[in-house]
Amino acid sequence: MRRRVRVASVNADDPLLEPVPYASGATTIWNDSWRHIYDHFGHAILAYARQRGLNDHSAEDVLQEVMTTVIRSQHGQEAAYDRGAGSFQAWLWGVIRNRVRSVRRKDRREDALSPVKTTGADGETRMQLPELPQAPPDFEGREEDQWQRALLAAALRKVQERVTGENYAIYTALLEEKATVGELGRLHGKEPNAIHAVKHRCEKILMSELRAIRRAWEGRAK
Amino acid sequence: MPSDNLARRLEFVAELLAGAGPLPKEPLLLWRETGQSTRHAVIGHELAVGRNTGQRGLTLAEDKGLSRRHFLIRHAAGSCVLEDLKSHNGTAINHPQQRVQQHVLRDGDLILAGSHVFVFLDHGRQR
Repeated sequence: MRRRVRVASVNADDPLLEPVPYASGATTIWNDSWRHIYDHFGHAILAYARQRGLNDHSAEDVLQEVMTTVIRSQHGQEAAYDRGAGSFQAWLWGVIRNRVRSVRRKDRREDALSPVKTTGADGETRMQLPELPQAPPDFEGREEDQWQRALLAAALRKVQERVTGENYAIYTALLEEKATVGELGRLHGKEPNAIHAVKHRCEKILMSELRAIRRAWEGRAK
Repeated sequence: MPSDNLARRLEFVAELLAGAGPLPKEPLLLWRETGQSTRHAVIGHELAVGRNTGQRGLTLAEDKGLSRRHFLIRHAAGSCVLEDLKSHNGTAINHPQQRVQQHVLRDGDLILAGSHVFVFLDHGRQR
């Protein structure tokens, strides 16, 4: 699997990316805007945080902190995205990376404090990712690569939501090259044509979701 | 998958911030009074919250669900740590069932104590 989600330049005319000054009264726009980012990137931010070594609980802390920063910036409480200062995705990417580092630091501090017993169930399961090209050796490049993988994981999750469990298992087995079409056909009692059909259907959904994520990342979706 | 609980919490934070006005950059608590006005309190070195906390705390005398000194937030190792002060009704983080005795607060955490829901906000610039 050699596809990568390309990070293209932002559409500077997108009204969603307009910094909204405090007290303009445009609460609906603000709320829509953070929901827009949450809906499109929530899964990817969680996946990225896990790839950076955080557990499910801490990954959700990262998502919470990123979204709180986004909400605060939309309400003029924090340096908001500024079109003149750079692209929207660069700003958001910086927030995500900073918050991952911040939560990792806090986790280490928390370990030094007495453990806290809390109740509450977490049914989160981790997505197994297909292999992607090796990341460049530099640190920034490695983070960028992990973010790309996180975006792919988010798109794969959408595929999982839209096909049967059996079809998703077939597709991921093909992606990870764990089995051939013939082997999967025998395993699942299906003709090779049916396995190909599953592959093409999942591929179509995956590409559609990747396009949607790319559009959102460029600030054009909605 | 991001939890529904998180989305609802973020909606609550967005609603509160929409009515908050300019806020200081320091770690603070934000909450809505019964009259729907939004208030905030800067945590400073430490902040005790309860029905009767004395001069240096945040006193919310009308909330009968709060103990006299219900919880305390203090700085520890670069983070803000909440401690429940053996309150009668307990203190929860983000969900009523998540009762805590001690908790390292995260930006955007909800603190549930008495009939109040506080939002903890921390820009994190001091780190």
